[in-house]
Amino acid sequence: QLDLAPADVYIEKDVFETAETAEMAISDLYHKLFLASVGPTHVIPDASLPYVGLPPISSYANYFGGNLTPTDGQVENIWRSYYEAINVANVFIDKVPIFGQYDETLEQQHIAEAKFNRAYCYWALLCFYGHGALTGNDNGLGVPLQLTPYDGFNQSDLIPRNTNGEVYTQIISDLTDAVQGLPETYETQLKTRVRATKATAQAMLSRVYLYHRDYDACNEVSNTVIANTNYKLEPELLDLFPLNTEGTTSTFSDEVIFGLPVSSNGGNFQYGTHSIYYYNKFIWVEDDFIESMDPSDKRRTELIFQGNPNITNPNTINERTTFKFNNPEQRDDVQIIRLAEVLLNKAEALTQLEGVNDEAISLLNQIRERSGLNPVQESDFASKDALLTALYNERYIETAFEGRGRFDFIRTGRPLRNPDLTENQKVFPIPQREIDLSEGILVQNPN
Amino acid sequence: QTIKAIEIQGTVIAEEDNQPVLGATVLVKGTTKGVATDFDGKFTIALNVGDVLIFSSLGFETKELKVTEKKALTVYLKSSVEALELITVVGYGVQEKRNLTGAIGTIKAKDLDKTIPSFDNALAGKIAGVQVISSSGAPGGATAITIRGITSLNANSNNPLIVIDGVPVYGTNRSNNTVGFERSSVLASGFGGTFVASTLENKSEFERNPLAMLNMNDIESIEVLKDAYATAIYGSRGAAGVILITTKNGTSKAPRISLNYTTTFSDPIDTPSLLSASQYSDFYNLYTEGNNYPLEAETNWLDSVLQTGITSNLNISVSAGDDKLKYFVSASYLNQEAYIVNQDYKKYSFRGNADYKLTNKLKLGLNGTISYTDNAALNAQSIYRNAVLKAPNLAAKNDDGSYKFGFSPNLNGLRDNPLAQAYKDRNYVKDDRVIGNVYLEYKPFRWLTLKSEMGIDVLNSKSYSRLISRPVDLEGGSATQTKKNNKKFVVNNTASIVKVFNNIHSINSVIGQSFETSREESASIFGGDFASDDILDIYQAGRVGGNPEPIIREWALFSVFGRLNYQYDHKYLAGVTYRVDGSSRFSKNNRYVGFPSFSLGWRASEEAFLKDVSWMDQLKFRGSIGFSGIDGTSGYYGDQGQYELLRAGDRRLLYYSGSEILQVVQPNNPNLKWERTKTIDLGLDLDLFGEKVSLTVDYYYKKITNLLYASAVPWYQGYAIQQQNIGDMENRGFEVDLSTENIANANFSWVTNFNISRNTNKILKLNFEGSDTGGAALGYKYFAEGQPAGQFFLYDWAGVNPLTGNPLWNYPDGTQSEVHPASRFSPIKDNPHIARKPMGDALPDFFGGLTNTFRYKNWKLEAFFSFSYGSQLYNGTKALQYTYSTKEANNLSPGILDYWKIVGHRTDIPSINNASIENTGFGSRVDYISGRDSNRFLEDGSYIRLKNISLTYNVPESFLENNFLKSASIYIQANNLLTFTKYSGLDPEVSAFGSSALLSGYDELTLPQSKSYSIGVNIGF
Repeated sequence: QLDLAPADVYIEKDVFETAETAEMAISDLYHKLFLASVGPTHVIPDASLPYVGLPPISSYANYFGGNLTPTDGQVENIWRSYYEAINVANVFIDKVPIFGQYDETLEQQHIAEAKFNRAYCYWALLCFYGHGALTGNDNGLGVPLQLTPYDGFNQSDLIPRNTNGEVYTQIISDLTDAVQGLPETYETQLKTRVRATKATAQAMLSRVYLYHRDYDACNEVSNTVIANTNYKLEPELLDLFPLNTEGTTSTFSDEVIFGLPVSSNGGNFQYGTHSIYYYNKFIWVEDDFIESMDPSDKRRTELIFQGNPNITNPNTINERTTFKFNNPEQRDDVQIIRLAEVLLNKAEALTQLEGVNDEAISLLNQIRERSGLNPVQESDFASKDALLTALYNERYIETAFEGRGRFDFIRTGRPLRNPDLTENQKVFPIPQREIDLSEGILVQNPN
Repeated sequence: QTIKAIEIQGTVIAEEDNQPVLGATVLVKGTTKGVATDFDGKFTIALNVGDVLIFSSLGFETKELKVTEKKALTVYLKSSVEALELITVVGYGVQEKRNLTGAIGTIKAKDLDKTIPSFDNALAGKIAGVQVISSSGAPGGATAITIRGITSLNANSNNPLIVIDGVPVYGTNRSNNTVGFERSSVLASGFGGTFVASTLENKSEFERNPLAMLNMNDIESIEVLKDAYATAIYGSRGAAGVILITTKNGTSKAPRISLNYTTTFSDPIDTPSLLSASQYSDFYNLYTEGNNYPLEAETNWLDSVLQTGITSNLNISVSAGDDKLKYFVSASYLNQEAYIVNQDYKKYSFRGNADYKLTNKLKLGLNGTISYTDNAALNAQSIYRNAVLKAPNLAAKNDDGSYKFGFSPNLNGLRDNPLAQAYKDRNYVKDDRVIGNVYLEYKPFRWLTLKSEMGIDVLNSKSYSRLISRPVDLEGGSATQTKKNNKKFVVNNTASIVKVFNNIHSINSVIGQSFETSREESASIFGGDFASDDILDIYQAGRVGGNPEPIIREWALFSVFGRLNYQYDHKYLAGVTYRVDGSSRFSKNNRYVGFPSFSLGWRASEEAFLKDVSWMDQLKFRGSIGFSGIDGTSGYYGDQGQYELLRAGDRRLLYYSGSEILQVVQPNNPNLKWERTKTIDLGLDLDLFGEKVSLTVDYYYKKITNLLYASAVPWYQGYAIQQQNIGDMENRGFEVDLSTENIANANFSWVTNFNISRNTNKILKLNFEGSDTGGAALGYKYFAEGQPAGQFFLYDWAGVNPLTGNPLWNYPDGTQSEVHPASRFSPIKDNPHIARKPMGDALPDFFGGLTNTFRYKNWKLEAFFSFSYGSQLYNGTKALQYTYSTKEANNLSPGILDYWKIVGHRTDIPSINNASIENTGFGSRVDYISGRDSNRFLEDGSYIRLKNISLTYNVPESFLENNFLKSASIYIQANNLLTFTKYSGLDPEVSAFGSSALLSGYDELTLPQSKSYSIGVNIGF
């Protein structure tokens, strides 16, 4: 009679016992990923490049200025919130086999969803904190791999940083496992795009292989995704990024492989906003960037707009901003992975493998033509590097303001907004608090 | 004359119940020759006719009998009333005081001040080692009781276990007893403005005192169990000490009715000085550089909400008894007006205690009390605070007679109107409580008692708060209603054995089992936008806030315990206790834990070499060691993972793609261990000169290991902080109780009781360098190894630079600077905490009390002083009355007018616009001079206080002879008449955080105690 079941809370055993409660807990997995991925985490990678307009004094200046401190708020926040999401995934991976009493396939699916989320979080952490993770140094210090759920804390639970290579291996292993357990589709079109599917894990693998410079593997897995008929390049950009004034229902085009349904997540002000302030032009799109695009590029004509028409701030009243975030209350759905990126992943991988090649150019042309641009020819590119440069540029124009610019630029050796940053300065420091708590086990990044 | 030898066979029988008395001593007077009675009370002894036999036994009056030639004797022994005085209640039993080997403080009914509405307040200064910190002068407010120092770093876990007639009751606990009544809508604060760095929140809440329900007049005795030998029998709940309360039962043969009536007049012990309207206007006009605070009216808000509170207390009891039935019935009524207008506390309580002998061996009994309290004084604190801080240049009412809200025409200010709060808002908590037990006692033999009891504690409480409509910040008003329902059920089964063998070996033991369950429920709703201020029903509100929030929580405790006391030849005492507790609150891995304790005693005065020292009645040395625990620190359901549905701020459910989100609220934390307290106690009891002088001295060392505290874990573990067994702490101290009968003769007597305690607390081990006890919500103390848990760690205020008028701050490198260490211009801004220094402990070095009682014929004069030395008290009242930079535009203390004016002006008050009120860079300003994180307002809280002085006149019996009255007395009494202290605030005896001893040491415009005068009568029929 001392084993009392709480009446006001669900206990862990019950949560993972039935499909209904496990599904509710799965929502938390994605919710935590949402919390970790939006706001400054999303903005910093774009604001690190000169294409995002910032006010003269901006807190984002810390992230490309070269003096980032290990006590910086976002240095702590990004680290903390991704690891919070990782812990939820770890709980699933650990507890479903112990407590799960529901359909075996669904159990495997839940574990696979958790592994996808865990892999995604480790990828993001590597991009921010891994020393040399984006420049091919597998022996550089990555992040500590915490693969078991919180289960009480002992000093013996302190772990060192794993190398980038070890973290990549873990990410790839999780994603490969996830492909096995994940379904092709869910019961609705929306769920298929906001919960992990086989294709989601494969598309993520495509990105991770590319970042890890494993071009063969990238090419191979990208093919599987491209062959998947559930995903199509959306012919109209305004269907891919629709006007979403209400921000109360989520729609994702068939191009989207994974996204966060912010619009439908509750519908109130307290919660569910992504805190990405392009609409109100706290941050905006620099004229230079707009001018760099072809005047007929639909990404310029359709996806750049005035933002909030009621802005009176003289500094930003005439600035333009991205239509990718057009909801007045920061309730746009956020796209995490879409097919266009996978096409460019493959094109880049092929070019790295084979130099200038037809297939890569035809993939590039699919993206260009969708935006109303003329196709390019093999003859336009004198060298492998020329094609790579074109692909890099296309990639940035295509995926600008989607939260990865910084990583792509570091990865491809292009300068950030402050071109004088050393390689060491491009890596976030490990939060000082973690160093302090680690009793010397956790090593700080140089400088 | 020949001496005739004779052998006598006899039986010793108890007069009361005709049962044989086993183990009674039968001694031939003037010799050492003696025997003890056997199992059937029989004895055989050979002696001479003419000898005198002395019969004695515990609990009976000694009887002498001259031997005649009669060979068979039946001796009846009377129960000794005197002996009962020497009995001490211990956990699950009683023991003779002289045989105690544990440290137990006792206070009898006659020594309790019954004009105090709650017994915990009456304990203050009465028992060594027991510190009672009153929270405030609000009626029904909680107190912090600590026994031998702080035992836990959990702000809620330093409360002793309280057991009333064998029922462990819901006691003090800040989180359980606090009624919150925050507004359901708060005006959003805009950007800009000035905020005070590190201030304390003024929360709208009231912590009530769950012990106030007990009628003081029902109490027979209070025992405070202090050391491990006394507390280990309560196992996992004994670490913070145990208070046992025994209520009265019928004793006299004839029905006895007593009646007591007291009226008390109370006023605040002191009131704060305030700026007049013109001073206020002038000051703020100067500060804001313009006529922003025009002189419109002259309102003394404080005077208009203060009154002389009148308290009436009526108590009637009837007690009676015969061979079979004994009973005690009482009723009491208390109506206590606060010294704030329209804030009353009412209490009705009834008690029935009875026992009935079904047979000579079987007894049935019950103790029960029903009480009803209606505390409508919840707003008193808030009214007082607002009345002190509200701008005096504003009118209280509009021209049309309605209450004026807002601060117009002032630039800034408090919007609330303290008068409207007092007269129009409603705010009460009504508690119904039943505590009682029934028991069956079976005594198959004189030496064996089997007892089975069942007890309950039911607490139903309903709180309601209604704020009337206020323009701008609370249009339409708001209301909150909360219902709580706590139910506790306890079963104890014990077998006690008291036996003496051969008059040399004596044992007093108990074994038993206990099962206790508790179910706590609560639900609350809130509403806003009422169409009329007269509507109270929340469902008539324009906006009903979210869902009710029903919470049901349960816990259960199963225990087995035993105690064996052994005594050899009245000289050598030894004892052992053991308890095993299994609690639902703990994870399965650590569910059952045992708590042993051991003790030894030596009554040196019984030894041959001291027996002849006529002036020494008793000299006893005792020592004990043992373990106890605290079970409240780990929540309700052990440390298993717990999940809740994620909701938005307005309680609406949130979803991810159509599915509710189940989120972890507490992760699995299975390797947490119980906090464990080891106590060593060395004591001495000494009685001299025919018990005219009694001295008890105790030294103790209490070490707490596995302290539970929410401490940092690496973020990569998924959490920022989690409960961990992080450290060790110790308390060491001594206690002295001395009572002397200085003069005693037929007409005049003078008795002095004195006690003093010292406790030193030190944190021995922590897994981190230091941590706030919880930031602004909890105060600005800090935990650090080698320092007491109550230590303040503050920035070092170095006064005002007479050349610039800016404050100076001491830095750790010995330099002084006009830049606050936490300022964005500070050289150590990344880690400003290194500039915080230990500034003293909120808990005192010494405390105690002194009572002198004088009797002259029928007059009695009693004076009771309590004292506390060496504590630090944060004068947050002064901080608030010196804060002028915020939007509240507080009324200030006249002391502020000595602000720095010109170069060379030496003063403690910086210039009005000084460098430590600085721009943050975000369009707002931060004020570093009025926060609670510097020692600017930290003061010595030592005091000596004349807690009460009373004069009683007993009407002589000769005067009553022809009346039906049996006794009558009248008395007058004054409480808190005199206080000697260096503390510059109103009252050193306040604590803004109620029952939490860990958070004591803050005076935040806390209602001061009242100074009161009482007059009363006692009449017996």
